[in-house]
Amino acid sequence: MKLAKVIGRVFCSRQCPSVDGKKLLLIQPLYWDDAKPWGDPLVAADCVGAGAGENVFYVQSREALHAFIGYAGETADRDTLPPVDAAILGIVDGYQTDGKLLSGGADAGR
Amino acid sequence: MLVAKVVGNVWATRKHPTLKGRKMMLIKPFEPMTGQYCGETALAVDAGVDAGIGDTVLILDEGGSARKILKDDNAPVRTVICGVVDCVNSGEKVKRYA
Repeated sequence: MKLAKVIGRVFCSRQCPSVDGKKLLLIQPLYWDDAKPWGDPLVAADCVGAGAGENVFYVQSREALHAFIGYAGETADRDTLPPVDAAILGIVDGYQTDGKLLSGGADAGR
Repeated sequence: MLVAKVVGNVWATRKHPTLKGRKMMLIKPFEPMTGQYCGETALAVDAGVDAGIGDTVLILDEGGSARKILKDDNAPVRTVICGVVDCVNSGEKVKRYA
């Protein structure tokens, strides 16, 4: 699982029906070590109710789909699985690495 | 599977229900014989081995096996800590971590 910062939200008026009700967020992956940006931003489906500026952790590929099996998240219906390849699994309250304490709040990673 | 060092831990109140009650540790893969780090720090779920910061651990980085180990067919997890490394042998050399 990787760390990322929520930098925006994506809205689609025409989309696959199974994506209806899912919150799509634009996230910028970060390094765990120093919370510096890593790679390019991507769109991830949210299942915990993350908001702008928060640090989150996410999974990609097949595991993203598993995040919605048996658990619909905040807003979705349970019957259809969404075609997603990135899912936000949790909001980071804080973490420590190499003895450093880093906060996961909206001010982290600056 | 990888040999990695536990470098930290993560706490999160709002998280996917399958992660409730599980330890989430930050791990950094390294070359077991030379000790050189090789790869980025990642978040791994502890599969009941109770690894602590500073431990050398065995990491499984594959979704299907991770779900089997966590005994949850729908766990959205790919990286799990599935062992604590005591020692590594390579050629004549023995590296002890315990």
